[in-house]
Amino acid sequence: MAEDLFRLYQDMSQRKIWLAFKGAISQDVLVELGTLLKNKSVLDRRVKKVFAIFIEMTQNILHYSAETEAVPFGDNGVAHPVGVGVVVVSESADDYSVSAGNVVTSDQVAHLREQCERIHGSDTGQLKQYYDARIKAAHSLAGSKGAGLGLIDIARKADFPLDYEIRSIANGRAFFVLTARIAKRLAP
Amino acid sequence: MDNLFLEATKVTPGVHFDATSGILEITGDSYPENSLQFYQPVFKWLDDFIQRSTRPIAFHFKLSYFNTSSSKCILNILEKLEEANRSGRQVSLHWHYREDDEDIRESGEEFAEDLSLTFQFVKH
Repeated sequence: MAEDLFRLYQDMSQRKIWLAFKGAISQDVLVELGTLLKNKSVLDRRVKKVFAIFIEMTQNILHYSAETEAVPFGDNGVAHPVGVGVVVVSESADDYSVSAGNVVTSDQVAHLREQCERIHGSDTGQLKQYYDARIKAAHSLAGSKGAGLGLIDIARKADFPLDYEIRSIANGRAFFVLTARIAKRLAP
Repeated sequence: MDNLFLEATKVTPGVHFDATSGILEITGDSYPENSLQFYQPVFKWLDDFIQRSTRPIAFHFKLSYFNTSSSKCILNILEKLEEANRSGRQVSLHWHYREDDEDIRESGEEFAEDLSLTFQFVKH
C-alpha cells in the first residue's frame, strides 16, 4: 500500500490535481473543499468559475446521487442520507478542469441523457434561453432543489462544451461523469 | 415592525433589512444546502414590509457568489420588489459587483432584462 500511495501521489502531482475526493459529499465537505478553491480565486479570477462549477457539481451529487451514505449531522448526531460520488479538480497548461462522477438510477438516466444532449447541442444564446425557461419553471415548483438549472449553469460558465459519459453498471444503474473546462486565458 | 438581521455564514448571506430606513441589504455568499429553507423567512419579512409599510425601499444586492438554487430565490425577491413597485411603492435597486467579476454583473443584467425594475449597477 505504501508504494501504491507514492505512485498515486506522483500521478496526482504529474496531472496537477488540485483536489480529489471520493465518498459522501456532505455540505460540510463541499464547503471545505470549495473554500480551498475560493481562496485560490483571489489570485486568479478565472478560478472563481472553477469554484462555482465545483459547487454546482458537488451539490448535484449531494442531492441526486443514487448511492447514499448516512452521515451524522450536528451535535445531536442524527444521521442524514448524503450522496456519494467522486470529484477531481485539476489544471493543464491551458485550462482548469472539474470532473464529477456518481451513480444514477435507470429512471434518472433517460432524463439526464436528454438534458446533456440538449445542452451539448446548444450555443451560448440557446443555453441562455434554456436557463431562463428553467429558472421560471423551477421557480413555481417550490420544493425543487435545482430542477436541472445546475447543469445548464455549468455549461454556461465553462469555456468549452461539456464532456459527459453515462456508463451502464450493474442492476440497470449507470455511472454519470461530467467534465467542465475553464480556459486559463480567454482567447482575444 | 422589527428589523431582520442575519449574520453571514460561509454559505448563507448576511441579511440586513432595516424597517426604519427602508434600506435592505444582502451581502456575501449564498450556497446553502437548502436555499428555500434559508430564504423563507427573508421572503416572509419582505412580504410583511411591503404590506405593512409605505416607506420607500432601497435594496442593495452585494452578493459575491450565489448558486443556482439561490438564484431562484433571488428572482423571487426581485419579483416581490417589482410587484410592490407596480403597485406604487418607491423601489430603488442597486446591484453591486466587483470590477473583475463578470459573472455577478452578467447575472444582474440578465435579471434586469426580465423585470420592469430599473437596476442601478454599482461597480467596486
